[in-house]
Amino acid sequence: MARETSGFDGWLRTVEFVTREVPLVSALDAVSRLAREAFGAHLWFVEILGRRWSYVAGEGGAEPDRAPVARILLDGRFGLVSDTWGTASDEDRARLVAFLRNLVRARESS
Amino acid sequence: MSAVALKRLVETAIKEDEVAPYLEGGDDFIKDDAIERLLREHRNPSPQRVRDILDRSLALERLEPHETAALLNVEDENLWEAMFATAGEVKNRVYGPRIVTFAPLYCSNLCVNSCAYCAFRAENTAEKRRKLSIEEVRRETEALVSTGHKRLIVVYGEHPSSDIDYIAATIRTIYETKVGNGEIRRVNINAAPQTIANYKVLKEIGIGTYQVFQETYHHPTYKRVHPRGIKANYQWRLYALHRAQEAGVDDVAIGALFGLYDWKFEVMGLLYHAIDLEEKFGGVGPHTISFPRLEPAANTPLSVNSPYKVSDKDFKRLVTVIRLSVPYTGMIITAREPAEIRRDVINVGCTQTDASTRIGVGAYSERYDAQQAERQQFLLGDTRDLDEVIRELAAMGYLTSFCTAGYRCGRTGSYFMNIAKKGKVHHFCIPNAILTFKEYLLDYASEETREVGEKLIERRIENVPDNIRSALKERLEAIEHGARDLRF
Repeated sequence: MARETSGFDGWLRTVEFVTREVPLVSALDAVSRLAREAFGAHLWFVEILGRRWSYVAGEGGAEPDRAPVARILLDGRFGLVSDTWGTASDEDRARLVAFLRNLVRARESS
Repeated sequence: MSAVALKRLVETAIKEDEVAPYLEGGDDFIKDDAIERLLREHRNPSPQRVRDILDRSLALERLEPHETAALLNVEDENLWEAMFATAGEVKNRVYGPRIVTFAPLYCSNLCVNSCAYCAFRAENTAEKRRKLSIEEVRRETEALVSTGHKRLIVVYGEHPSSDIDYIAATIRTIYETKVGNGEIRRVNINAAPQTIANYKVLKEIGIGTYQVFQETYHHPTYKRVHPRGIKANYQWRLYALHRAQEAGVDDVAIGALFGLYDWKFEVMGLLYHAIDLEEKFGGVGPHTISFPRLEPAANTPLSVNSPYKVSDKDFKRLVTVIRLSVPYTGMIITAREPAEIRRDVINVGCTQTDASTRIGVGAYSERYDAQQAERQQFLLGDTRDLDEVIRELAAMGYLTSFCTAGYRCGRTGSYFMNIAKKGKVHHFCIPNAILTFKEYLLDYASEETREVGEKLIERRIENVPDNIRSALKERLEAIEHGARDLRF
């Protein structure tokens, strides 16, 4: 069920809690699941291997969306793909992407 | 190569410790006796049993070996007709009316193996040996791009000169090559079994699908037709795709060379291979299955006198049973087969084919038209150009797809398998097929093909779900105005 953007801070704290101290793939799976539940967003994560964006975690839609699939670099190695952000606002998206970049960077350096 | 040098090469190439973890008591997952027994025990299945099995295929469930054995043993012609129709329907439910099209690119025919059916075998002095330089690979790629191809399967002989560094360099070169609007967007490879470390190199380059054919799953036959060389090790080859998956290459492809042993046994072997991959790697089985038939090859007697050569009738049957057994996996029919066979067999479940095929090393850029047996692994059955094949497919109602969207947006491995098993791949495949087909029609097609193709696109757009039809039409218009590589 879609939630209000004003509750994004609380939602993000939940995400931070759920993803701490778990392997990266599990953390990314959790983010995808929580974003789907909260916003109806479809997010999946990939390892970038030259031209290939190879699936790592998360779940996209089983139907194409009107909008083109969006590909977002998280760092030189990992990427985020989305076919819809559901009810997430532009600001929510930006904050979630920033969180994910930190998450990936922290796990890769650990 | 001397016997001593070959022995040393085999010892260096094969890492037994990368195979051992998959074995049970030294045995692999192909149990010859069990397969033969299943084929004996499930003779003459009743029509009701066959219909029950077909219902499972229509539900897109992978069959169990005893069910596949039953289908292989059907003798009633009417039941076979029902099976042909069901296989076509299964393909349509999963992938829709589209055929992905590619071209093979042979980079090298130097080989250390002694495969009794292959013109590339080391002992065949009649074969003209050659390995393409990187510049020659670029020229071959340019020639292929200029005809409209977007996807390649790149083939290498098993030889120290075609090592992982050479393979990596050729793939990078292919990806870098552009001609006008054209480029190769997906490079699949058919290369010898590698170590896990080498597979990690292939993963990093970003290959599409990695393909290794077991050739025959029957242990005694395998031993007989592979007397020497690295390929003589059955288990090293059988677990090649397991090692690839272990290294992170998650789109892998299996195949058997039909004609070396009983075709029913080989279908069972392919099924067991698919099952073992699924079991070991979280449900991710083969991305595609290939089923080439033994074809005549220069100075290679077994290629013409094998007692197990498969008739056209049995070939259609084996393709049908594979489609019914693994409903969600892609299936490749190649230009080994003559046009009339491809035309017929595509309808029972094939999802990919090649066109404008040349399999001589250097054959695209050097533009010799006739086949030259002494430069090829075998003789082709269909050498028609891409435009002609596409026109024929369009007349049959099939969209030619050059789509490579999936592997460039993370719909790979378990993601792909998940939507394929739900029968939802066509939701993506058809719109993307239409977009890439449109590109081809504008950039490369003859007037005749363009006319047939445009009419087909108009028909197929109507079957696209309402929610994306208008977006699809907008993208088609953008392509008409010069945009390229648009996708869902």
